[in-house]
Amino acid sequence: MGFFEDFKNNLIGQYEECEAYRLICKQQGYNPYTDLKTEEDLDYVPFLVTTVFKRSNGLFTKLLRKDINKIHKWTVSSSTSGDPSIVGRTEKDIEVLRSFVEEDDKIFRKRHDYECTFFPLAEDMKAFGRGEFLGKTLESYLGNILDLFTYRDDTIFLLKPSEKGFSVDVDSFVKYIMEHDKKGNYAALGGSTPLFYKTVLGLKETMKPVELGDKAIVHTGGGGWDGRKGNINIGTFIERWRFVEDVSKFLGIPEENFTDTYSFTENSFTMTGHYSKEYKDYIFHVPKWAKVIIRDFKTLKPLKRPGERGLIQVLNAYGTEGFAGASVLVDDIGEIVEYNRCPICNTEGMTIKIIGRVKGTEAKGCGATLGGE
Amino acid sequence: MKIPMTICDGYATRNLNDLNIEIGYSNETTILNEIDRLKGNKLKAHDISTKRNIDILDKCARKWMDREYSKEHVKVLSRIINQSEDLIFKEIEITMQMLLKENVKRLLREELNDEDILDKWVDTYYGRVHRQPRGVVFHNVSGNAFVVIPVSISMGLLSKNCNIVKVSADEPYFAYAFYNSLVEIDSSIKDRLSIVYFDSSNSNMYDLIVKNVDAVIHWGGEHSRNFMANLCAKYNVHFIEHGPKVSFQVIDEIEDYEEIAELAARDIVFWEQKACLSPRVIFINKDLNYEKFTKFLSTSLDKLSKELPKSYFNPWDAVKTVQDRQYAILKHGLSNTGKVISSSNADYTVVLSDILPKKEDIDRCFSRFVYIYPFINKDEILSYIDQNLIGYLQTMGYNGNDEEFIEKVTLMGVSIITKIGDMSLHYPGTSHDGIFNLQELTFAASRQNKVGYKFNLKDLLSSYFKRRS
Repeated sequence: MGFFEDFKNNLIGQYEECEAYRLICKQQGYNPYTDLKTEEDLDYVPFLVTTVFKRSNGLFTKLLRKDINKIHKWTVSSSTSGDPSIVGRTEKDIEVLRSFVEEDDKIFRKRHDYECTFFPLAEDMKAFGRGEFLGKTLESYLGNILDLFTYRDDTIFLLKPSEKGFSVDVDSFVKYIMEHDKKGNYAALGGSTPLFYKTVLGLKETMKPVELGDKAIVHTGGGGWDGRKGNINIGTFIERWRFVEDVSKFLGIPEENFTDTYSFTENSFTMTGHYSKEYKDYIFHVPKWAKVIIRDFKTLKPLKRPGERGLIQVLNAYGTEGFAGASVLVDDIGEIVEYNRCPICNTEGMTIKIIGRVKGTEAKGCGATLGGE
Repeated sequence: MKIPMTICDGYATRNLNDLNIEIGYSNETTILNEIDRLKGNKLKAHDISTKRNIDILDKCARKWMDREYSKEHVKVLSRIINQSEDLIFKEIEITMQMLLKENVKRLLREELNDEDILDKWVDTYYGRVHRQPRGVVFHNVSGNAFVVIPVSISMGLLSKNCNIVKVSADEPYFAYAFYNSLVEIDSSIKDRLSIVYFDSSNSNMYDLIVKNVDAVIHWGGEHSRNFMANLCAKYNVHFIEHGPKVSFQVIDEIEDYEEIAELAARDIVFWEQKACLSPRVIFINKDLNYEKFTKFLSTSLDKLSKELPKSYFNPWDAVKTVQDRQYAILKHGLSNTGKVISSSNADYTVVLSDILPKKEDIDRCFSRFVYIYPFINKDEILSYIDQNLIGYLQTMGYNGNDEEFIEKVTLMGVSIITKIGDMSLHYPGTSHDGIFNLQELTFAASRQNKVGYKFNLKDLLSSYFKRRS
């Protein structure tokens, strides 16, 4: 079946299996049996916001679609606020995620005979903060994604477990870029943006740039463009174009060889973007196995025109057997590049820019916030 | 946009809702020099007549109430504070009314018992009494609701103090604009008012300032309040505190559901609930038709979302409302403890709850987000206040006639009770956080010299000791 039919079945399943989602639908007078007939109706599908999955809200067990004993593991976000999202997934959900990561890889990851990454070994990432909760393993979502990536056997993982969490093995990075300097090898670099950037900015002060050449690629992921990821904080917001420009110059890799992968814990697919000099940003391709709606901040209605910005809603037809993730609104801002194709590579499908997390603070002033328990 | 402030060593850049602002900041030496300058003007400020001060404030208020004059300022403010221009015009109208001549005169009479007491010695039974300014006052203003700025500045000027006002980085615009309009009317304002900015993480700066001024008036959150209170205690400087506060409504009687709901909605909309006087919870008598009230309140909020719309310059407010609302729907829906009525976007949210809101629920009540709790008896409210709101209480919008309840609730700390719909309109001379600002910003000097009224202290003391033995 196609995406629409599969999505409809998934949504009806979620409606039947998850009381919380049913409640949200009823609040809006929505019934997927009668209100989801054509693709145009996708615009009206009620969403769950990502914050309802937050640990502090205590609702994540209510957002399951199965009994806890059918859940394989809890996946948690690498929260910067100390209040992570907790999402229960079945084995099938993890398998679906794997297949999507592999598909994404096939499209975007070019040949690489060598590789080093500012990520830890998947096992180390998963073990970090691993615990048991309601009889099920609790692991980092990012660790699980890393586990699905197809790394080479000789990939160098630059993040090493340490007393403080993880530390960057800068020496191995320097060795790697020196080894491939002016060789024109198919060398891949990647990993966590803030750590990658911080390391390059530091090295720029102490060593000359290298020339890895136009066969080398840079593939980042895991967010952190606001300069923070988990307990890492480099203290400054990272502009994407500046990151690409600086790293491209220092490593001698063409800007068009940069890609970035976007996902979030409450989602069931990854989305990769290639950098465009013209747009001075990554152009993310919405894969054909999912749909993205950009919603206007004011009206919450779907936007359709290139250049329009709003909140990102994802529609998942697959991979949400365990949790109510069929329709999720995330507090990230997206901008439509083209609704039906990529203006750079002409690939069919919606393309968007990820502008970043909606920023704001709690009200401060003479109106009190009480802070709760 | 550049906001130079009255003194400036350089510019700090800030992006507020996509508006790039350069805020003139001052370093420690410049601030200290400014305080010295103001100190040197104490006598000048003292010698300016109250009539002249009243005239200045009246003219300034009229300027701002003229939309032709204020429209450019409103445009900028709208962007900075993420409120619609329509709403800001209305808020300016309410705020500036307080500064009109008749209202200021009323304020002086109510707070200081005499319009002339700041200018001269006034007769009393023992002789004469006079109100003297404290000297140099430091105003630490918050950015949540600009109403605090004209209130703080006008009180500082009326009381004949010299004033140094530190603006918030969240809203650095209004105070300097207001200062300029005062200066346009009377240049003597420059001698007794200074608008400054510095990085508030510089705690040493606060230490230096407090050490060198005579009083501090503070508007803002708990952390900064405690910090300033400690500094004032350390240097024995008079401390006037406003905030952080929580306000609420109690509806005990209803004659006209539609009318009372419209008035309740008005209180919710002003200042987007960010002011200390904004209601966050409505307690309604369970014997009333609270479902009907809830429905009318939602309708009124919907109506006001067209007349005084919300602003969406900053998507954060919208996102947070949608997130908080969905949490409330799930929390109350899954436990059958209430229901949520809302707009389809983030315009307004009404939670009708069978259980009392927790502290974190009250923290969600900003930007037209309100809890309604139907109570069986008012002891529930008193007990709730006792457990959650002591120390934070300010305005209670009340529709009812239970004097015993009013006595009890004010005993707990509610410092002003208004009609529903009047919460954002504190009349001239009403108490402010339980105090009178003009009293606090001045001190009373008594001259005990009335002929014919004498008592013999020696006789009094001996009769006292006789009684004790």
